[in-house]
Amino acid sequence: MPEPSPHPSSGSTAACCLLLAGQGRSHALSFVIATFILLPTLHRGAWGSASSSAPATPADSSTSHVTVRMILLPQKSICSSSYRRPHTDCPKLTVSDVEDLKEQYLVSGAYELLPGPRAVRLRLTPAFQSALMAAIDANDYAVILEFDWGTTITAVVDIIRKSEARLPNWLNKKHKFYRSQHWYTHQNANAFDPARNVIWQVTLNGAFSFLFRIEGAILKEVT
Amino acid sequence: MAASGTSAAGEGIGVKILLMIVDKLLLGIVAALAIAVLQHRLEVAQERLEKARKLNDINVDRPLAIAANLPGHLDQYITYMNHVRAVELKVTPERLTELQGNIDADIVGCLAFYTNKQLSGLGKTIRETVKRTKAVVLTSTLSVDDIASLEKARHLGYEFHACIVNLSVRRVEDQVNSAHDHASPTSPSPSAAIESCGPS
Repeated sequence: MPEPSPHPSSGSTAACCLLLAGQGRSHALSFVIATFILLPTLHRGAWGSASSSAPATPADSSTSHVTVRMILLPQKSICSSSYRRPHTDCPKLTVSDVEDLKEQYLVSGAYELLPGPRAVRLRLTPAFQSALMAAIDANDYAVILEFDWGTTITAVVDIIRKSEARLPNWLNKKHKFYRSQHWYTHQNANAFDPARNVIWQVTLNGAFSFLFRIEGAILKEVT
Repeated sequence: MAASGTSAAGEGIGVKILLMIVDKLLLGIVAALAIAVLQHRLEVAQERLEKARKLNDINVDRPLAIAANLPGHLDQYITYMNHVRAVELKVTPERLTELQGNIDADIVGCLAFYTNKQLSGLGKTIRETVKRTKAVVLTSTLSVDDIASLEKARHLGYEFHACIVNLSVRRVEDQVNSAHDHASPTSPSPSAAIESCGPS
């Protein structure tokens, strides 16, 4: 059940740089590449620019480089253990697994991510927010984050969850993936409640980070 | 001699009449007191009856009225879900929330009047089924199992209603008993926890 505005991934200079950065070069080299080559190619300004804090809506293919999608589904579809414990017995998600799940469950549009110290706000659509709230109420739902790097890369990725509202901080470090365009991680749906003000930080090769937060939909007036 | 005898007889009659008057007066006073006491008791009984009627209105009729809505509200929700599944109706989250809210209000409203394990268990199961199916319909499609769980919830809704009726009957009986039995003012309140809500 994908939401409208699906985003076909596209190759880009940025992704090529990620590939270079991920293939055994030092973090310093990655940082240099990221700073001087990757960042100017991003369509929406540099680090710290005002536009980076503007709410992002699902992106179209012409403006995106690194994107993220959310897939809302029952937790038992991907992991039998509780998120309260370290979920070591969760099987690793493959591309085909996720493609199957995308056929069955609600998928958000693709949101473009920008590197830099400011969190990009991912504005939910009303339909996705309604479903997310129902899923949070049901208490046994999860959200898969599907990162699309734009092209096949090899890299080490760290993801950190920082919350201001009754949710412990969480991190998942040193996930190495080989020659893949996508990387998946998943969390309890609670962590995506816009009211919790969670900031997600994804770092590639320890060099540069993408920060984002979930922002509530602008809901229409209920009569 | 005859004159003194006549006056003595006259005095005796006078005393008799006086005693008779005093007797009648005392009888009247006693009768008036008895009537006053009876009247007071009647008034007290009437007040108690009125109070019991008011208590019934609040404690019994109100939860009964709320519980009577539950099967209908559940039926609306299940019918909506069946429409969504059968004719691929576009789901309106607002409508779903409204239907869910009605069911929640009925259950929470009844639980405010009765503390009962069985009732709480039924209410919890119904509410969780509604929450889960709402999440399913908004994130994917309803399965046969989901519809079956809703049908089960419908039965539980009627069971919940029946439970409230039984508890209300028991509460009225308790009130009648406590009205008769003034000697036990510390008897447990009718709203105290009752483990089962089967017919009394």
